[in-house]
Amino acid sequence: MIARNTARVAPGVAVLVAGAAVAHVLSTVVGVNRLILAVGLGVVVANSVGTPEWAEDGLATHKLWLETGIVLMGARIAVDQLLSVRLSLLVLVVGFLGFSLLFVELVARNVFEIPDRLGSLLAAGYSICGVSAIVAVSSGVRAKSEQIAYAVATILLFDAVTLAVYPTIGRLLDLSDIVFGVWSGISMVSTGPVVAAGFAYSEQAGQWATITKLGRNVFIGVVAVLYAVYYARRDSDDASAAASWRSLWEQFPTFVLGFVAVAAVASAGLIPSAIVSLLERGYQWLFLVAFVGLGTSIEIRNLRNTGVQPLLVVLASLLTVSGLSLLASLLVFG
Amino acid sequence: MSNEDTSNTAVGPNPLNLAFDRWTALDRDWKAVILGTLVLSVVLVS
Repeated sequence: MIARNTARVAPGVAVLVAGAAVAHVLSTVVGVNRLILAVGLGVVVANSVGTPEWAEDGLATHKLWLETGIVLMGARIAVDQLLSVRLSLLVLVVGFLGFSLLFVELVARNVFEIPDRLGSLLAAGYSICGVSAIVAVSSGVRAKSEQIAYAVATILLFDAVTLAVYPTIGRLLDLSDIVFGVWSGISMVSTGPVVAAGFAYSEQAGQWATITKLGRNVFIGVVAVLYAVYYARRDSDDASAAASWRSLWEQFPTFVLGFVAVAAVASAGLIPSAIVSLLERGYQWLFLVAFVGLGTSIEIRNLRNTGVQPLLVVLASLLTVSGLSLLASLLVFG
Repeated sequence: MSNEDTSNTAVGPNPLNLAFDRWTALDRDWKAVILGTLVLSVVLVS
Protein backbone atom coordinates (compact mmCIF):
# COMPACT_ATOMS: atom_id res chain seq x y z
CA MET A 1 0.00 0.00 0.00
CA ILE A 2 2.87 2.36 0.82
CA ALA A 3 4.35 1.73 -2.61
CA ARG A 4 0.99 2.39 -4.28
CA ASN A 5 0.41 5.67 -2.40
CA THR A 6 3.96 6.85 -3.00
CA ALA A 7 3.60 6.04 -6.69
CA ARG A 8 0.40 8.11 -6.73
CA VAL A 9 2.03 11.23 -5.25
CA ALA A 10 5.65 10.98 -6.47
CA PRO A 11 5.17 11.97 -10.14
CA GLY A 12 3.44 15.25 -9.25
CA VAL A 13 6.03 16.05 -6.57
CA ALA A 14 8.75 15.37 -9.15
CA VAL A 15 7.02 17.85 -11.48
CA LEU A 16 7.01 20.46 -8.67
CA VAL A 17 10.72 19.91 -7.97
CA ALA A 18 11.58 20.04 -11.69
CA GLY A 19 9.54 23.26 -12.05
CA ALA A 20 11.38 24.77 -9.07
CA ALA A 21 14.75 23.87 -10.62
CA VAL A 22 13.71 25.41 -13.96
CA ALA A 23 12.52 28.61 -12.21
CA HIS A 24 15.83 28.80 -10.31
CA VAL A 25 17.94 28.44 -13.47
CA LEU A 26 15.69 30.77 -15.50
CA SER A 27 15.91 33.50 -12.86
CA THR A 28 19.69 33.63 -13.21
CA VAL A 29 19.28 33.99 -16.99
CA VAL A 30 16.42 36.50 -17.25
CA GLY A 31 17.02 38.33 -13.96
CA VAL A 32 13.43 37.97 -12.71
CA ASN A 33 12.72 36.84 -9.15
CA ARG A 34 12.61 33.02 -9.05
CA LEU A 35 9.50 32.87 -6.84
CA ILE A 36 7.49 34.89 -9.35
CA LEU A 37 8.91 32.71 -12.15
CA ALA A 38 7.87 29.56 -10.24
CA VAL A 39 4.27 30.77 -9.94
CA GLY A 40 4.30 31.97 -13.58
CA LEU A 41 5.65 28.63 -14.79
CA GLY A 42 2.84 26.80 -12.99
CA VAL A 43 0.17 29.14 -14.41
CA VAL A 44 1.52 28.79 -17.97
CA VAL A 45 1.68 24.98 -17.81
CA ALA A 46 -1.76 24.59 -16.19
CA ASN A 47 -3.43 26.92 -18.67
CA SER A 48 -1.69 25.81 -21.88
CA VAL A 49 -0.98 22.07 -21.99
CA GLY A 50 -2.85 21.46 -18.71
CA THR A 51 -1.76 19.35 -15.75
CA PRO A 52 -1.75 15.61 -16.53
CA GLU A 53 -3.99 13.39 -14.42
CA TRP A 54 -1.05 11.29 -13.22
CA ALA A 55 0.53 14.40 -11.63
CA GLU A 56 -2.55 15.84 -9.92
CA ASP A 57 -2.20 14.13 -6.51
CA GLY A 58 1.42 15.20 -6.23
CA LEU A 59 0.72 18.77 -7.38
CA ALA A 60 -1.97 19.05 -4.70
CA THR A 61 0.72 18.64 -2.02
CA HIS A 62 1.97 22.19 -2.63
CA LYS A 63 0.27 23.60 0.48
CA LEU A 64 2.06 21.01 2.62
CA TRP A 65 5.45 22.23 1.31
CA LEU A 66 4.44 25.86 1.93
CA GLU A 67 3.40 25.12 5.52
CA THR A 68 6.53 23.02 6.20
CA GLY A 69 8.62 25.91 4.84
CA ILE A 70 6.83 28.33 7.18
CA VAL A 71 7.52 26.02 10.17
CA LEU A 72 11.25 25.99 9.27
CA MET A 73 11.22 29.76 8.70
CA GLY A 74 10.66 30.06 12.46
CA ALA A 75 14.43 29.49 12.83
CA ARG A 76 15.18 32.70 10.89
CA ILE A 77 12.76 35.03 12.64
CA ALA A 78 14.31 37.88 14.60
CA VAL A 79 12.19 37.30 17.71
CA ASP A 80 13.61 40.30 19.57
CA GLN A 81 12.68 42.60 16.67
CA LEU A 82 9.24 41.02 16.52
CA LEU A 83 8.67 41.44 20.26
CA SER A 84 9.62 45.11 20.03
CA VAL A 85 6.74 45.78 17.62
CA ARG A 86 4.32 43.10 18.84
CA LEU A 87 1.70 45.47 20.21
CA SER A 88 1.58 47.76 17.15
CA LEU A 89 1.52 44.75 14.80
CA LEU A 90 -1.21 43.02 16.81
CA VAL A 91 -3.34 46.17 16.87
CA LEU A 92 -2.95 46.58 13.09
CA VAL A 93 -3.73 42.91 12.36
CA VAL A 94 -6.78 42.70 14.63
CA GLY A 95 -8.02 46.18 13.69
CA PHE A 96 -7.86 45.59 9.95
CA LEU A 97 -9.26 42.06 10.27
CA GLY A 98 -12.34 43.40 12.04
CA PHE A 99 -12.60 46.35 9.66
CA SER A 100 -12.32 44.10 6.55
CA LEU A 101 -14.98 41.71 7.84
CA LEU A 102 -17.45 44.51 8.55
CA PHE A 103 -16.60 46.42 5.38
CA VAL A 104 -17.18 43.42 3.08
CA GLU A 105 -20.41 42.51 4.91
CA LEU A 106 -21.74 46.09 4.68
CA VAL A 107 -20.75 46.63 1.05
CA ALA A 108 -22.09 43.20 0.03
CA ARG A 109 -25.46 43.66 1.77
CA ASN A 110 -26.11 47.39 1.36
CA VAL A 111 -24.37 48.47 -1.83
CA PHE A 112 -24.41 45.41 -4.10
CA GLU A 113 -27.30 43.62 -2.37
CA ILE A 114 -25.87 40.15 -2.88
CA PRO A 115 -27.21 37.25 -0.72
CA ASP A 116 -26.10 37.45 2.94
CA ARG A 117 -24.49 34.02 2.89
CA LEU A 118 -22.37 34.80 -0.18
CA GLY A 119 -21.39 38.12 1.42
CA SER A 120 -20.27 36.29 4.57
CA LEU A 121 -18.17 33.82 2.56
CA LEU A 122 -16.47 36.73 0.77
CA ALA A 123 -15.96 38.58 4.07
CA ALA A 124 -14.30 35.58 5.73
CA GLY A 125 -12.31 34.73 2.60
CA TYR A 126 -10.99 38.24 2.11
CA SER A 127 -10.33 39.19 5.72
CA ILE A 128 -8.69 35.98 6.95
CA CYS A 129 -7.07 33.47 4.67
CA GLY A 130 -8.83 32.99 1.35
CA VAL A 131 -10.15 29.62 0.29
CA SER A 132 -9.36 27.91 3.64
CA ALA A 133 -11.50 30.49 5.46
CA ILE A 134 -14.34 30.12 2.95
CA VAL A 135 -14.32 26.36 3.49
CA ALA A 136 -14.05 26.80 7.27
CA VAL A 137 -17.08 29.11 7.56
CA SER A 138 -19.19 27.56 4.79
CA SER A 139 -20.91 24.96 6.98
CA GLY A 140 -21.68 27.48 9.75
CA VAL A 141 -22.97 29.97 7.18
CA ARG A 142 -24.94 27.13 5.51
CA ALA A 143 -23.96 28.40 2.10
CA LYS A 144 -25.10 26.76 -1.11
CA SER A 145 -22.45 25.02 -3.16
CA GLU A 146 -22.68 27.53 -6.03
CA GLN A 147 -22.15 30.38 -3.54
CA ILE A 148 -19.01 28.62 -2.28
CA ALA A 149 -17.83 28.20 -5.88
CA TYR A 150 -18.42 31.92 -6.63
CA ALA A 151 -16.61 33.01 -3.49
CA VAL A 152 -13.65 30.68 -4.13
CA ALA A 153 -13.28 31.81 -7.76
CA THR A 154 -13.46 35.49 -6.73
CA ILE A 155 -10.81 35.08 -4.02
CA LEU A 156 -8.50 33.09 -6.34
CA LEU A 157 -8.78 35.83 -8.96
CA PHE A 158 -7.66 38.45 -6.44
CA ASP A 159 -4.85 36.16 -5.27
CA ALA A 160 -3.49 36.09 -8.82
CA VAL A 161 -3.91 39.84 -9.37
CA THR A 162 -2.43 40.98 -6.06
CA LEU A 163 0.54 38.63 -6.40
CA ALA A 164 1.50 40.42 -9.62
CA VAL A 165 0.57 43.96 -8.55
CA TYR A 166 1.82 44.29 -4.94
CA PRO A 167 5.59 43.89 -5.51
CA THR A 168 5.35 46.35 -8.43
CA ILE A 169 3.57 48.98 -6.29
CA GLY A 170 6.04 48.34 -3.47
CA ARG A 171 8.98 49.06 -5.79
CA LEU A 172 7.31 52.13 -7.32
CA LEU A 173 6.70 53.59 -3.85
CA ASP A 174 10.13 52.41 -2.66
CA LEU A 175 8.60 50.90 0.48
CA SER A 176 10.90 49.60 3.20
CA ASP A 177 10.96 45.83 3.81
CA ILE A 178 8.92 46.01 7.00
CA VAL A 179 6.28 48.36 5.55
CA PHE A 180 5.87 46.20 2.44
CA GLY A 181 5.73 42.99 4.50
CA VAL A 182 3.17 44.27 7.00
CA TRP A 183 1.08 45.93 4.26
CA SER A 184 0.91 42.77 2.10
CA GLY A 185 0.36 40.58 5.19
CA ILE A 186 -2.64 42.69 6.22
CA SER A 187 -4.30 43.41 2.89
CA MET A 188 -3.53 40.58 0.44
CA VAL A 189 -5.74 37.51 0.59
CA SER A 190 -4.35 33.93 0.81
CA THR A 191 -1.20 32.79 2.61
CA GLY A 192 0.64 31.42 -0.47
CA PRO A 193 0.50 34.64 -2.52
CA VAL A 194 1.35 36.76 0.56
CA VAL A 195 4.51 34.70 1.19
CA ALA A 196 5.38 34.72 -2.53
CA ALA A 197 4.93 38.49 -2.89
CA GLY A 198 6.83 39.15 0.33
CA PHE A 199 9.87 37.03 -0.55
CA ALA A 200 9.79 38.30 -4.13
CA TYR A 201 10.26 41.78 -2.63
CA SER A 202 13.05 40.80 -0.22
CA GLU A 203 13.95 38.19 2.39
CA GLN A 204 13.07 40.58 5.26
CA ALA A 205 9.80 41.62 3.64
CA GLY A 206 8.92 37.95 3.17
CA GLN A 207 9.43 37.26 6.86
CA TRP A 208 7.32 40.26 7.94
CA ALA A 209 4.61 39.37 5.43
CA THR A 210 4.47 35.77 6.69
CA ILE A 211 4.35 36.73 10.38
CA THR A 212 1.63 39.31 9.75
CA LYS A 213 -0.38 36.85 7.67
CA LEU A 214 -0.05 34.12 10.31
CA GLY A 215 -1.37 36.66 12.82
CA ARG A 216 -4.52 36.93 10.68
CA ASN A 217 -4.81 33.17 10.11
CA VAL A 218 -5.02 32.29 13.81
CA PHE A 219 -8.39 34.08 13.99
CA ILE A 220 -9.98 31.67 11.52
CA GLY A 221 -11.48 29.55 14.31
CA VAL A 222 -12.97 32.55 16.13
CA VAL A 223 -14.53 33.95 12.95
CA ALA A 224 -15.89 30.53 11.89
CA VAL A 225 -17.54 30.09 15.30
CA LEU A 226 -18.95 33.65 15.29
CA TYR A 227 -20.51 33.09 11.87
CA ALA A 228 -21.90 29.71 12.94
CA VAL A 229 -23.50 31.31 16.03
CA TYR A 230 -24.88 34.24 14.04
CA TYR A 231 -26.53 32.09 11.37
CA ALA A 232 -27.72 29.48 13.89
CA ARG A 233 -29.43 32.23 15.94
CA ARG A 234 -30.84 33.87 12.86
CA ASP A 235 -32.22 30.57 11.60
CA SER A 236 -33.51 29.85 15.17
CA ASP A 237 -31.40 26.77 15.77
CA ASP A 238 -29.36 25.69 18.75
CA ALA A 239 -26.50 28.20 18.76
CA SER A 240 -24.62 26.55 21.63
CA ALA A 241 -23.78 23.50 19.49
CA ALA A 242 -22.04 25.69 16.94
CA ALA A 243 -19.90 27.55 19.45
CA SER A 244 -17.86 24.82 21.07
CA TRP A 245 -14.18 24.95 21.97
CA ARG A 246 -13.79 21.85 19.85
CA SER A 247 -14.88 23.65 16.69
CA LEU A 248 -12.54 26.54 17.58
CA TRP A 249 -9.63 24.10 17.84
CA GLU A 250 -10.62 22.20 14.68
CA GLN A 251 -10.33 25.37 12.62
CA PHE A 252 -7.05 26.50 14.18
CA PRO A 253 -4.11 26.46 11.70
CA THR A 254 -1.92 24.14 13.79
CA PHE A 255 1.18 24.57 11.63
CA VAL A 256 1.48 28.04 13.24
CA LEU A 257 2.31 26.19 16.51
CA GLY A 258 5.23 24.51 14.73
CA PHE A 259 6.43 27.91 13.49
CA VAL A 260 6.22 29.39 17.02
CA ALA A 261 8.00 26.35 18.55
CA VAL A 262 10.90 26.54 16.05
CA ALA A 263 11.13 30.33 16.56
CA ALA A 264 11.29 29.78 20.35
CA VAL A 265 14.03 27.15 20.02
CA ALA A 266 16.03 29.43 17.68
CA SER A 267 15.62 32.51 19.86
CA ALA A 268 16.88 30.51 22.86
CA GLY A 269 20.15 30.11 20.91
CA LEU A 270 19.78 26.35 20.54
CA ILE A 271 20.30 26.37 16.77
CA PRO A 272 23.84 27.24 15.57
CA SER A 273 24.03 29.95 12.89
CA ALA A 274 25.42 27.52 10.28
CA ILE A 275 22.33 25.35 10.77
CA VAL A 276 20.07 28.40 10.53
CA SER A 277 21.64 29.20 7.12
CA LEU A 278 21.06 25.61 6.04
CA LEU A 279 17.43 25.77 7.17
CA GLU A 280 17.03 29.08 5.35
CA ARG A 281 18.13 27.49 2.09
CA GLY A 282 15.80 24.59 2.88
CA TYR A 283 12.67 26.69 3.36
CA GLN A 284 13.48 28.86 0.34
CA TRP A 285 13.49 25.71 -1.81
CA LEU A 286 10.32 24.44 -0.17
CA PHE A 287 8.65 27.77 -1.03
CA LEU A 288 9.91 27.51 -4.60
CA VAL A 289 8.45 23.99 -4.94
CA ALA A 290 5.18 25.13 -3.32
CA PHE A 291 4.85 28.13 -5.63
CA VAL A 292 5.07 26.02 -8.78
CA GLY A 293 2.08 24.12 -7.36
CA LEU A 294 0.35 27.38 -6.42
CA GLY A 295 0.71 28.44 -10.07
CA THR A 296 -0.79 25.19 -11.37
CA SER A 297 -3.81 25.74 -9.11
CA ILE A 298 -4.61 29.05 -10.82
CA GLU A 299 -6.91 28.07 -13.69
CA ILE A 300 -7.84 31.15 -15.70
CA ARG A 301 -10.89 29.37 -17.17
CA ASN A 302 -12.34 28.90 -13.67
CA LEU A 303 -11.60 32.49 -12.69
CA ARG A 304 -13.97 33.63 -15.45
CA ASN A 305 -16.79 32.00 -13.48
CA THR A 306 -16.84 34.81 -10.91
CA GLY A 307 -19.97 36.90 -10.85
CA VAL A 308 -19.57 40.64 -11.42
CA GLN A 309 -21.08 41.64 -8.07
CA PRO A 310 -18.88 39.43 -5.82
CA LEU A 311 -15.93 40.69 -7.81
CA LEU A 312 -16.89 44.33 -7.24
CA VAL A 313 -17.46 43.71 -3.53
CA VAL A 314 -13.95 42.32 -3.05
CA LEU A 315 -12.43 44.96 -5.36
CA ALA A 316 -13.99 47.79 -3.32
CA SER A 317 -12.81 46.15 -0.09
CA LEU A 318 -9.31 45.47 -1.39
CA LEU A 319 -8.85 49.07 -2.59
CA THR A 320 -10.10 50.48 0.72
CA VAL A 321 -8.26 48.09 3.05
CA SER A 322 -5.10 48.18 0.95
CA GLY A 323 -5.01 52.00 0.89
CA LEU A 324 -5.75 52.39 4.59
CA SER A 325 -3.37 49.62 5.70
CA LEU A 326 -0.59 51.07 3.56
CA LEU A 327 -1.07 54.43 5.29
CA ALA A 328 -1.18 52.76 8.71
CA SER A 329 1.94 50.66 7.99
CA LEU A 330 3.80 53.78 6.83
CA LEU A 331 2.73 55.70 9.93
CA VAL A 332 3.70 52.92 12.36
CA PHE A 333 6.76 51.37 10.68
CA GLY A 334 7.82 53.92 8.04
CA MET B 1 -6.01 -24.94 7.53
CA SER B 2 -4.17 -23.58 4.54
CA ASN B 3 -0.66 -22.08 4.69
CA GLU B 4 -2.04 -18.70 3.75
CA ASP B 5 -4.39 -18.60 6.78
CA THR B 6 -1.59 -19.48 9.20
CA SER B 7 0.75 -16.73 7.98
CA ASN B 8 -1.96 -14.06 8.19
CA THR B 9 -2.78 -14.91 11.82
CA ALA B 10 0.85 -15.05 12.88
CA VAL B 11 2.14 -11.88 11.23
CA GLY B 12 -0.76 -9.44 11.83
CA PRO B 13 -0.86 -5.94 10.31
CA ASN B 14 2.43 -4.57 9.05
CA PRO B 15 3.57 -1.79 11.48
CA LEU B 16 4.95 0.20 8.57
CA ASN B 17 1.55 0.10 6.89
CA LEU B 18 -0.10 1.11 10.17
CA ALA B 19 2.24 4.07 10.56
CA PHE B 20 1.61 5.06 6.95
CA ASP B 21 -2.16 4.80 7.48
CA ARG B 22 -1.90 7.15 10.45
CA TRP B 23 0.26 9.57 8.47
CA THR B 24 -2.25 9.58 5.59
CA ALA B 25 -5.12 10.26 7.99
CA LEU B 26 -3.31 13.23 9.58
CA ASP B 27 -4.44 16.79 8.95
CA ARG B 28 -2.12 18.72 6.56
CA ASP B 29 -1.15 21.25 9.24
CA TRP B 30 0.10 18.50 11.56
CA LYS B 31 2.01 16.88 8.71
CA ALA B 32 3.79 20.21 8.19
CA VAL B 33 4.67 20.43 11.91
CA ILE B 34 6.01 16.84 11.92
CA LEU B 35 8.00 17.31 8.68
CA GLY B 36 9.46 20.60 9.90
CA THR B 37 10.44 19.10 13.27
CA LEU B 38 11.92 16.07 11.54
CA VAL B 39 14.06 18.23 9.22
CA LEU B 40 15.19 20.39 12.16
CA SER B 41 16.07 17.30 14.23
CA VAL B 42 18.01 15.69 11.39
CA VAL B 43 20.13 18.78 10.67
CA LEU B 44 20.75 19.36 14.37
CA VAL B 45 21.86 15.77 14.98
CA SER B 46 23.97 15.33 11.84
